Amino acid sequence: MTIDDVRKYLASVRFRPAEPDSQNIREFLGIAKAEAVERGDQEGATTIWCLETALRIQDLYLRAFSQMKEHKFYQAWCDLERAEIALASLQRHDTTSWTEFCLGFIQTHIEHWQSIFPYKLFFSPEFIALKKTCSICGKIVTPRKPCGHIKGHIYDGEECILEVTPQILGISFVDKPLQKYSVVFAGDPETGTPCDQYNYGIVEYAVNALRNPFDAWNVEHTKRIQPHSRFSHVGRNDPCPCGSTKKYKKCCGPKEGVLCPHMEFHFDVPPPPEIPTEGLLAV
Amino acid sequence: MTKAKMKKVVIPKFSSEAEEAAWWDTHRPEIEADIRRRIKKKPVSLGNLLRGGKPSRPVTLRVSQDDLESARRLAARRGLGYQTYIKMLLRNALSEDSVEGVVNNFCSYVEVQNGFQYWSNAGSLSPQTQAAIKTSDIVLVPAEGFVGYVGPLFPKGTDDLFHFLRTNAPSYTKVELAAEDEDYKELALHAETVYIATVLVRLLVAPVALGLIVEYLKNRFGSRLGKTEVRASMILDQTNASNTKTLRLSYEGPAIAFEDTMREALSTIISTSQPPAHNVSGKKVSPLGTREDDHR
Repeated sequence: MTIDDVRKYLASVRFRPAEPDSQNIREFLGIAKAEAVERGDQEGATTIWCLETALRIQDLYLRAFSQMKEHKFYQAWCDLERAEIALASLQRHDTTSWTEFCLGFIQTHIEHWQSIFPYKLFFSPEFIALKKTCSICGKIVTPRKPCGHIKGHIYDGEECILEVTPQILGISFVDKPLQKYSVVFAGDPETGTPCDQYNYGIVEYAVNALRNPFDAWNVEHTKRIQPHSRFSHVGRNDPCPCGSTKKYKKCCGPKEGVLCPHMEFHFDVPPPPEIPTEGLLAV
Repeated sequence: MTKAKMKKVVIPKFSSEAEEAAWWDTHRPEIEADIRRRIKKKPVSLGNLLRGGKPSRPVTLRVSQDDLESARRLAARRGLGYQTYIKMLLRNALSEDSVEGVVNNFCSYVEVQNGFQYWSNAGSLSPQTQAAIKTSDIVLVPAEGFVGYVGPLFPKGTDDLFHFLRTNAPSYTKVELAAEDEDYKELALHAETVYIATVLVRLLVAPVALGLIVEYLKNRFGSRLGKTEVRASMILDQTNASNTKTLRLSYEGPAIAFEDTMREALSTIISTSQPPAHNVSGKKVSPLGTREDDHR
């Protein structure tokens, strides 16, 4: 195996099977990187780090897609976030193979997937960083005495991150979290175990309509008028189904229909014939 | 019962005085009818105008007899009730005293006490740091505690900002941090909002500091700026000027609007803080018009 073989493997991600096994590639890259570090080749080690990260991003995206097919939605959500973080890291260093390795495609489509998940509320910790330690040299970093390593840079083929010792002050609910994995789940009142109360109908629709994780698709978040007949189960004094807090009779009642949030999907490759393409109502 | 639709009288822009005069001549009956309608709807009086919409509350205030007599006398001279007159004086004094304003949806300013004088004498700092702050132009200052934690706190990534400012500021601009290394603690609020440490700055250096902060944001966040909110504050110290108010200018809004909004706010504040210029006749003229004009 050579570095060129790895590049070819990365460039052919569209044809990779659903559950790829990149173990031998990862091992090869690990050895090559160690050798580069041995002979003091920082640039070479950084290049290999970029390939390792690109591979990781691709594998995470493929795994997320498989998980969605198997209805393991929360695990897919977490893998999509891991890929998103790795993309941000890689983007700081090397974007030359962005298109070749389909990383731009993955970046755009992670956003699409995240926008159709039903998660609206997240936990967000508020904590004090008591001390910060550099992952490269292990020294404690203070404002006037930095350790010399720059956060985000690659040293000996490893990314410098600052490890924080936290003192948690509290947890708050937010709708735009930095840590997307802290989704709010309900707890079973009897056993206290978390249960997944979310309706993944829309995500299921999209993943069923796609045969290949690299078939491009887009979603437009818009609004559409739905006839009142579809809301016969909603009382006149109940909150309007359009999502405003007004009463149905005061809000959309007098209008020709209910203005509902609507997602318009566009698939580059037509979905399988059994997938409906018109007028679905997600309740 | 249907309400008759009221046509709002709109005064157009005129290209000449003659045109303006002609318009008023022809529209006079319309204007008079409009005024009559509005008075009927809501009586126009000084009281109504002063109230500004929110209902007022009665308060009991002990006032000296002399002041009350002066008030009655001066109010009578102006043709006002003495209580209306006192309320008018109160409103004027309050607006002059509290320097507070809103620049636009995202930016506001308020007068504060803790400028360079305060921080170069802060007990929590060593004599060396105090002395360094005294001669600095830009100082990152902490917020005081959060939810049960007592002590100076900086937003996450302030050390990063500190290094950036020190590395990229012009050589004649000194940057300092108002905390000792061992006391330096960061507060991480893990929402997507980017919190920037409060920047204490000498007013005339503020545009340079703003430029550096904008560069820092672009450098660290790149394309993600488009989707992020920013919260930032600058404390503008003007103790070298004749107008000695220290202002905290705060921004809370989308990252993409940060640069333009803050530049506009800064240029307004800087221009109003300049000492009055003298025009050709030797009379004092201030940039925004003077109180002297009002009292003629």
